[in-house]
Amino acid sequence: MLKLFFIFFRISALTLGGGYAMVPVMMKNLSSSNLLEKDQFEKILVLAQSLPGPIAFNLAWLSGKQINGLKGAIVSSIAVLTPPFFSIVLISSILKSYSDNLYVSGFIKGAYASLIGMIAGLLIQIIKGTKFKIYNYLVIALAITAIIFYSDFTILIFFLSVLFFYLTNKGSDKNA
Amino acid sequence: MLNMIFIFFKLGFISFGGGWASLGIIKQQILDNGLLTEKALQEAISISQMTPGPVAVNVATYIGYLKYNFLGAFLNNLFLIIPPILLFFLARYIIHKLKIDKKRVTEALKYGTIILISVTFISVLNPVISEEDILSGIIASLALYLFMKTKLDPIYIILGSAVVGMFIFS
Repeated sequence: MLKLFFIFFRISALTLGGGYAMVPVMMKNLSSSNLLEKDQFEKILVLAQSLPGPIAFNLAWLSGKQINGLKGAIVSSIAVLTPPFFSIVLISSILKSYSDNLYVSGFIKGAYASLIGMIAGLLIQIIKGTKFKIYNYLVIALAITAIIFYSDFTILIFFLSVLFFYLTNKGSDKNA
Repeated sequence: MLNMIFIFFKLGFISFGGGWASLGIIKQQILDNGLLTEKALQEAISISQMTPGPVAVNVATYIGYLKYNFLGAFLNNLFLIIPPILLFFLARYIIHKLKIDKKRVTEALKYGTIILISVTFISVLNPVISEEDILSGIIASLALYLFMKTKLDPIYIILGSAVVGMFIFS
């Protein structure tokens, strides 16, 4: 159990760049310490991706559960959440006193600008990775517009769109 | 504070496709509720990218801490993870009962992720366009190029751009 805690704590504390950066590191660590085989982890990954929530958290919960039941799930989840929690608390308390500093705000502005470019890149990659279906893209365009203008209904709009993609996908499978 | 926690609770239900996908929705909801200014929110987002941990968790912690200290940070995290925990327990039952095909769900969610990331892209780009911030535009284009054409880890692109920003914006 302690081993489980330290694996997730270490991965979370040392991996920069968000949840998806942690996925391969988790798989490697869990299989090399004989806690979870690679194919077991891959099964968990599919489920973790089809449920909402931060991917690193979902993986910690689901792998912990597989390894050590509900207790394992809770221990791994706490382990994965603790390092970011305290590093953010620390950094934001330091930053409070320096946010008027020109270099600090330039640093942050530069990082923000790079994100815009990379999010555009990610969008292009995902679009390339899906089959082009004209109706899906019409729904996507409608949903984006609707979310921007009616932000109160974001969740509803999102799930209706996903339901549409799910149901129409069935039709195209039958034809094939 | 309830307003803020509720935002992260809602987010817990739709945070599919990784941290960048959820950013747009976070940004929109926070601004609509007037919890933070555009500038403070940009700071929160940048810091969350450069610190370890899932981006959504980092943003939740940062905003919670900024507004209501420790308690705010804790509650934001808690409410962000309640929806996935609920669904972990329900998932097997729902999949079994409704005979949902997991592969098709994954496929449908890919298109759903396109919606979320587009909203993110529009909302992160928006301030740069409205301020006619050409320097940021140039950094963004370079980052896009590096992201697409090289195998450079995104974290180095972010840190590199931050260092460049430190000189050209000051």
